[in-house]
Amino acid sequence: MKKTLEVLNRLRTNGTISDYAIGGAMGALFYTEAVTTMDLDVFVLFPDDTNLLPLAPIYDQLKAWGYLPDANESECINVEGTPVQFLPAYDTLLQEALATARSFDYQGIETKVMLAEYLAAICVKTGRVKDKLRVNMFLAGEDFDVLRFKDILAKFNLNERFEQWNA
Amino acid sequence: MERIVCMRALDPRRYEKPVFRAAQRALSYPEKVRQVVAMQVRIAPILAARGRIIKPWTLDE
Repeated sequence: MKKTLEVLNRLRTNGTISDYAIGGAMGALFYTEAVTTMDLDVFVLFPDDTNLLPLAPIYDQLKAWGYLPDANESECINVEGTPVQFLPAYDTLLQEALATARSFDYQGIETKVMLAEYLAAICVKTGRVKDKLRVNMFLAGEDFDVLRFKDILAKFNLNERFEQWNA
Repeated sequence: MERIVCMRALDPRRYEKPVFRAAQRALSYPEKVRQVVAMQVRIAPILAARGRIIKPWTLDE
C-alpha cells in the first residue's frame, strides 16, 4: 500500500496526472470502520482534458514502469500488489470532491483522500445497495459534518434521491 | 400508586455494538488496511468456491 501510494505520487510528479484523490471503499476507510474491498479507487485529473482516451497516458506510463493489468480484477492495474482502478473525475461533483480532498500521511507518504461528506454524496449519486450501507456508516461517524453533506446534496440535486432512500 | 424503590442500570451489553464500532472507526489507517487484507484472506476461499478468484493484497509494511 505504501509503495502503491508512492507510485501514485510519482504519476503526479512527472505530470502524467494533474492530481488524484482516493475514493471508494478505501477512501471511506479513513472515516469509517474497515469493510471488505478488492481494489483501490483513485480519481484523477489530467493536464489535457480534451483527450478522448483520458486513462491511456496512465496505463502507458505504468506499463513502462512494469505495472500491468491485474490478473483477477480486470479493470485494475496491479501496482505493487494492490489492484488500482483509475477513474477520471468526469462530473462536477467528482471534480469538486477532488479539489477539496485533504492530505493524509500514510506511514510517511503523503496522499490525498476525498472528504467524508463528498464520499457520502458520491455514494448517494451512485445509488447501489452497498453505497446506502456506506452512507449509514458515514452518518454514524462522530466527525461527519451533516450540514456540509446536506449542502453538497442540495448543490448537486441529490436531495430527492437521498430522501427516497430514507422513505 | 406503586413506589419505585430503585432503578436498575441498563444492561451495558446493549451498548457494546456501537461502542465497538466507534473503537473500530478510531483505529489508525494502517491498522484498518491490515484488517481489510485480513478480511480478503478470509473471504478468498469463499469467493473461490463461487468461482471468483481474488488475491489478497501485499502488505509492504
